[in-house]
Amino acid sequence: MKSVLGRSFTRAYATQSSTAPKISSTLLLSRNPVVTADLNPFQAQYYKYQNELWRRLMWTFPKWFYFRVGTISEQRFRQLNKDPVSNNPDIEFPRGRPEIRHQRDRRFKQELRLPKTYKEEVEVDDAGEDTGAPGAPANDDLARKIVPNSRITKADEANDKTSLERKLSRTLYLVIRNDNNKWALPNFGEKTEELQALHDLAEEGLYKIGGEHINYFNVSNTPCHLYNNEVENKKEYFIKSHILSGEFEPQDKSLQYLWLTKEELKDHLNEDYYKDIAHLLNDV
Amino acid sequence: MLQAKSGVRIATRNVASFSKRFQSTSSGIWTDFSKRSASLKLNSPEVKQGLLHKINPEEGPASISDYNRRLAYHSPEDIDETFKQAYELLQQEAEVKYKEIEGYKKRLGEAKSTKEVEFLKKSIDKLLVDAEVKNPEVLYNVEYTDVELLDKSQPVYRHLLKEKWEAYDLMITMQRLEQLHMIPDTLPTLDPKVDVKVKFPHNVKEEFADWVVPGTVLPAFAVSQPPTIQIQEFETVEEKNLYSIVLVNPDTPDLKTNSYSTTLQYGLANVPLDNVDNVIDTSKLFSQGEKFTFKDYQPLVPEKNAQTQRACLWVFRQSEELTLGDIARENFDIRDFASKNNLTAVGAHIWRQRFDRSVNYVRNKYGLGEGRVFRRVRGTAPVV
Amino acid sequence: MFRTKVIATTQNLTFTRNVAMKGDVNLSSRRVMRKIRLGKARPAIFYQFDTLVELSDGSVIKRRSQAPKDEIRMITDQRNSALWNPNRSDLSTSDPNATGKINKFKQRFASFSGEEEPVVANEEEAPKDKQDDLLELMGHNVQEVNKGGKLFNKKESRNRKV
Repeated sequence: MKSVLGRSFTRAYATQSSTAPKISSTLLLSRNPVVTADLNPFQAQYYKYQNELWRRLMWTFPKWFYFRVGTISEQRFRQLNKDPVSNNPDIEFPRGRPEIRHQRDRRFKQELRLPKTYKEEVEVDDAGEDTGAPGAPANDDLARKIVPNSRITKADEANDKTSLERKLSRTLYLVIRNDNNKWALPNFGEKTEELQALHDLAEEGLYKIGGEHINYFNVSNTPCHLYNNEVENKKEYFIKSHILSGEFEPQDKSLQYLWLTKEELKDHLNEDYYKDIAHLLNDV
Repeated sequence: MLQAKSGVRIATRNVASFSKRFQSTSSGIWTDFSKRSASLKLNSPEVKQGLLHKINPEEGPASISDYNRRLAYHSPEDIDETFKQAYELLQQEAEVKYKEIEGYKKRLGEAKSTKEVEFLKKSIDKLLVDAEVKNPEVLYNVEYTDVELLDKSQPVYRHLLKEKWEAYDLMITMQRLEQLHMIPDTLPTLDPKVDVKVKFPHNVKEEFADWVVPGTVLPAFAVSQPPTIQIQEFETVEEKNLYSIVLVNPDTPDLKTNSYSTTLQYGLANVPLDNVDNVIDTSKLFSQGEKFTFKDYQPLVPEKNAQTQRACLWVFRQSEELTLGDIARENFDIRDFASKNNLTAVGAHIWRQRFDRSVNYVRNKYGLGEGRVFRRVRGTAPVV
Repeated sequence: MFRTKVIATTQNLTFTRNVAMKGDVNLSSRRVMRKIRLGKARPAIFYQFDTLVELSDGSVIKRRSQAPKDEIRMITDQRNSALWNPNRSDLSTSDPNATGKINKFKQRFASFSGEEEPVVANEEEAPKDKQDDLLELMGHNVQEVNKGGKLFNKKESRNRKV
């Protein structure tokens, strides 16, 4: 905020043109990541190692509390989790004598297998016939196995940059281009007839170019950045918003739009323009 | 058997059979010794295998000496893979730093002003430290091998030794200097820059043959011959610095004033030392001792019923070469000596002595004369 | 397992353990805590499972929980609640206030108060979604009856006595 005021202050005396610059509102519309951020290989390996240490230090699972003796679920649990190798004082254990406490070897992490709460898939015989084991559950069955969707969507594979489903772990920003113009963030100039607040300008402009089927959230009415566009002699005040649901459907056929990540924006946008706004964009 | 500093014995096994199992890491800057000193390497191959690669489950880690406990050891899961990846990352960062060093060295060749030269040298030193300070081999060498065998010309080793010194030895020294009031009884204060270590190697008993802990009370026979003094400088010393060493006893009784005076027991001046050549031991004293001893060593021989006397060793860095005239032992003014000769105190050491059964023997052996026997004198104030 | 300490006195040896023993006197009724030596305090790390939780709209979350379940399927949660999704009109199928005082008043004085249409009509219009799985659990031909309220009102009964 402070820098915005400071810059506009210095700039006001620096312009050479006699006409006052036009005021416009640029919409920085971002789609927040849908899934958790991707980890680089070392991070993943490090967290895995820390996880293993945590598991090694974990207390023994209180089986007596969750699986009461005499119940069927306890029986199933026992079937899946056999007791560890017990300590026989007459035997030599070359790699250390086991220390069993509450049916767990204290020297290692406790690995448990839990009884499944979901129905299994059909077990198929060699002949290709069902063995009579429980059939695959219906699509809506509450007891079916939870299968998360893949993090890489169809849009990722097709590299469809107009899709909001692409790159679920990254933040995507909307850029538009009219015929033979350059790629830029959508900018809406102020109307001379009626004065409007910057955020209202941005909202109306968004609906005008992208259709009504956009559910968006405006972060603040205060602009987050000021870009002095000397070429077109206008001041662009950036309004930050997030698209929560819906689709951007270009109303004008000549309008091209893309949803891009920070690195892709670097390739598409003007170099100076990108340098100016790079700090507004999310690395994740 | 390799005797590690902590006293843990590391078992060495058949080297021939070991070499078959030895896995080489991918080549990186830390395995390349063409441009780096070989002193940065871990010399024991078994320890290196256990440290950088997988511990052989049939043998277990080298640091555990008990056979059963060694075999019973189970590494945490995924530690090998994680260590390997971390090692690769750190090695890459070190490579970047070495490239920067090469750039600086080129600039050093073309540098003109002395200020720039100094700045470049400092930067190169700092980068050399940063490049190697995370190298596990270097860290192992500093922590678990004999410190005396380390190559002190390497800035990394000096940096790590300085950290160790600051963590314990420095604190002990300053504590003893202050508690025993060496500061301000001799010099007003000390800003320690140098690690001073003193030992009396002529002793046969182990108790007195090792490095002296500042403040210990030593018997007269243990200090009867000149000490070995090690002065470890942590900054880079290019050409040898000149040092003065002075051993002073501020507790010699002066009956006339009913107080104490300072005597000079030992004085060395113009001793050339640098990072590597940092010990004034018996061999040096034999070969070059004549040149820099301006006052022969006279051991402290406290008199009976006198209080515990302090032997204060001061190490000064000289700004230029000194020419000293005849200096008397008695009533030695150390502050005057330091200011007249433009000496900066960089390190100090202290031990104490009191009258014991070997004092008379030392007096007789070295012809130091008979000592007085003090006794308590009743005060004249009335007893109420 | 328990560390034992032997204290040798002039007359006899005594063994102590950092845990309550037979002859010990504990004057409070609280369980005697095991003595934790200085520097030996360790955090409580309960056993946790990596659980996949599927919310009502199909999104899957991986979380850690102490309960011994690999997979949990939620039928009512944030995604299903009108309070957390104020901009969605299709989420409130049954009125949560149906059995409250406000609704009781509205029922009595419906002709005088608000112009809102009865809730039943909206239900038919709402799309058949996973909420109906709840009904399937209970069985078909189920008619939702807004019965309920308090069975026994203590305050009212007190008044009636007088």
